Amino acid sequence: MPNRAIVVGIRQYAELPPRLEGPKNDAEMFHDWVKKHGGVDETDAKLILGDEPPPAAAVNANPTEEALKYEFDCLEDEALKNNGCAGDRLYLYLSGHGFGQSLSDASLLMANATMQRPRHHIPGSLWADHFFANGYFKEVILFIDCCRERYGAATLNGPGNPMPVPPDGARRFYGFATKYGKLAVERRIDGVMHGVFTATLMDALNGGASEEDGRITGESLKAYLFENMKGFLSADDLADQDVAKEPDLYCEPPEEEFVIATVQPKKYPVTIPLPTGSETKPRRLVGEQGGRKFVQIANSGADGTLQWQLQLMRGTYQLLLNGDSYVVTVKGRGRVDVAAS
Amino acid sequence: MSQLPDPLKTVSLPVSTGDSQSEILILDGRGRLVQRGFGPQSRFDLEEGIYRVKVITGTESQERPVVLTQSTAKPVVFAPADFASAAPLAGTSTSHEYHVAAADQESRKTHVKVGSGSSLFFLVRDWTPIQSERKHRIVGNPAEGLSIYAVSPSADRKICDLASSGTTNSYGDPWTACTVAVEAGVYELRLELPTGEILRHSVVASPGWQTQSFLFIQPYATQSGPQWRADLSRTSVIMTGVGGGFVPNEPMLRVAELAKVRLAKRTSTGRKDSSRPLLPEEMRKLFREKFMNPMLGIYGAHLLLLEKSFDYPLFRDVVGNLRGMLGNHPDVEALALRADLLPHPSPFEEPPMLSRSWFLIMEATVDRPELVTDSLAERTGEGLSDGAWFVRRSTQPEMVDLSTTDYEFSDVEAALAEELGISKVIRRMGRVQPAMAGTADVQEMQQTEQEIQTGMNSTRLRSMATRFGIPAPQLRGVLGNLEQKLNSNPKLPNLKVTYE
Repeated sequence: MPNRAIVVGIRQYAELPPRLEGPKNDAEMFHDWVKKHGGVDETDAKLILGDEPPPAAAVNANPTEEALKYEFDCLEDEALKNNGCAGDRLYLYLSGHGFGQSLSDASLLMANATMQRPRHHIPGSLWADHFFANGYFKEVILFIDCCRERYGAATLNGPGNPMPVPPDGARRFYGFATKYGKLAVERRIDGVMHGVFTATLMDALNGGASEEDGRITGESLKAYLFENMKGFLSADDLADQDVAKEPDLYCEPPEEEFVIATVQPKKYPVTIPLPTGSETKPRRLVGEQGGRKFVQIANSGADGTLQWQLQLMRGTYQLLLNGDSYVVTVKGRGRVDVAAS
Repeated sequence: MSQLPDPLKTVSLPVSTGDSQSEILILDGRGRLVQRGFGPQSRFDLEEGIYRVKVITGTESQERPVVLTQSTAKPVVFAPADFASAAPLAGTSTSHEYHVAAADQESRKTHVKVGSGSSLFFLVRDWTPIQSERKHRIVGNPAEGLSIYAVSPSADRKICDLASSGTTNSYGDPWTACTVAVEAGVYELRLELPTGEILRHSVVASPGWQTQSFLFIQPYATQSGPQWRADLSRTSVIMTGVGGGFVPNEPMLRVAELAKVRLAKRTSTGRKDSSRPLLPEEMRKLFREKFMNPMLGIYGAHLLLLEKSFDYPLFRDVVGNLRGMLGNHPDVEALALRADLLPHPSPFEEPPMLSRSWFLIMEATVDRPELVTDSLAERTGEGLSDGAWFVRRSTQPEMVDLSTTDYEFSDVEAALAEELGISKVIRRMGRVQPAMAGTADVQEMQQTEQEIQTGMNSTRLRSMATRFGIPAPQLRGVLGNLEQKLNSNPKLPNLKVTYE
């Protein structure tokens, strides 16, 4: 059965300030990824972008929640025609303005929403749960890059309970850009505006979160996203208690068995700063490899410098300098922390 | 040169934290979660290896790498973390000394007296990380739009506006404080937003206690740009004896505040791992002995209820103690619905403070429809959202969207129609192929005799009452209206709701 994707990015809203820059770029980037690494054929990867420029009045703006529900209904119809299954995996990606109305959901405000009409929204996990619990897909992967601030006038408007018990082996991974009540932000990254969550997600899905064998599992994706989102935030963002520093993630257990994709693991060019006085000491780096702990990853004789340049995967390593021990943590994009152990 | 150790040996790693409420995560070399525990002391049996120990305290996290090659008696020690809190408690990261002093001094004064025996204190303040020559984020009073009301089934009476009745200081990050001497009872803190919406939150005054509410401010979006008003969702509530004032160094207040942060993240309907304990052992021990902090008891009892292995005897003891301490308190009575204590809770005249308490009341209305009085059901408005506090929004009729594509359903009716699958049927009746991706044209619908039948048993009704925050009898009323609207429109399918 095919994998399917519905990818939505709404950058400009007719009547909802402030103007966003990232959602179109992010949606296009994720759309490209599902076709390249996510096993989705071109014809099964729907990309839905907001009108640009938007019409003067929100009432005329697209896409509306009805348009997106139309896509959902089509998938459901297809499932009902095919013994209850529309595909192996559904990717659902939503980016734009949004809000949080419950601890377990985030909603994308559609292009026709206004501050007085927040009912025009799509609650991501209610719909994802609908496809998951009814078994229309064996796996459902949901990413929502939007704010989850509490919104005054919004009753969640989604498919309902009681949800059936999902079929055996069904799996889901849900990723929200923020914890409940927090703001998602966008920043210029590599010269282009992106949602910080999506930028981190794409780094992860393009090999940052890969295990040594290339598998990106629910477990490794969670670990990457939790650790690296704050790497794109400014000092002001980090000090702002409203801005999300970590995403909100859920993966159906066992997380290590849910393979999201298989992508060549990324090795980063890393420069490890060495402590003063160690320029004459041989150096050795040990870490986890092939399921074994304390495997030698690299060694080198003294070269008279206080830097050691290596290609490393993300992880935590032990640096041994003639009996002295340090811990080197390589984060996404090759950021390095060194601490005495 | 060091020897490479045997990788299969299991060794012990003790971790010590400054707070019993701190959660300890052990991450492996790739950042994957290996084990978790609570402070103040936990011991982890781990394979030798390279780990990171992460400690989460309220809003803050600390992390330290560890190379573990042999068991050690010496723990990895984490100092207490300064976390964000609207209450300017010692060891929090979001207060200035002048905020602490303001809370200390102003909570011992009386700015407004309308009764005796109990007291309400409010401190509303801005907080910015760096005090510099920067311009203030707000120009007005931080308490603008906030007022306190005495509420009753017959009429509501405004007691005072906090901005005009309290003390304000605009030095640094500005603050306004106001203490109101009152009779014991349930009062309402109201916030008028720049859009005209009114947000409401219950504040309970108990005999012999001062209820202290601490609020930050936040920007509210308007068409002309953000305007700053109080943030009701991040309120911190503390209770101390009347006359005792605010005590920033009281350790139990810190424990209670951290318990509130934990509760605000939890829901019984979410996907979090419910097998995990939510209360540290030290707090259970405290509850088994004598606890004197009512808010800690209320938060703790809710957390006990959310645990999978529910400690019913302990829960019952905590709720019994709370009744003894506070008398008739809506949040305690909401908890008592699950405690099987005598006397059974009476019908609720006033809403509770906490979202979780409202959840328990909604759940119980399926079997006890009289539990929410008609007066309360009418006055409640819409529950704003999840999170710790049950904040309601007064319905603004002019904000109800009656666009024709929504068949003149109210927001709640529209949500119920989607929940029950009615909207899906309507979409299919009116559908033509989309003109392009992302837009769907709806054709003129013809008359239909289609009927949708929906069976409603107590489980489903309970699930809907808690999801929408509407008492079961009122929910049945909304479903009845929806039935009527659908059945009177020949172009829409008929709805038949049957109750089992």
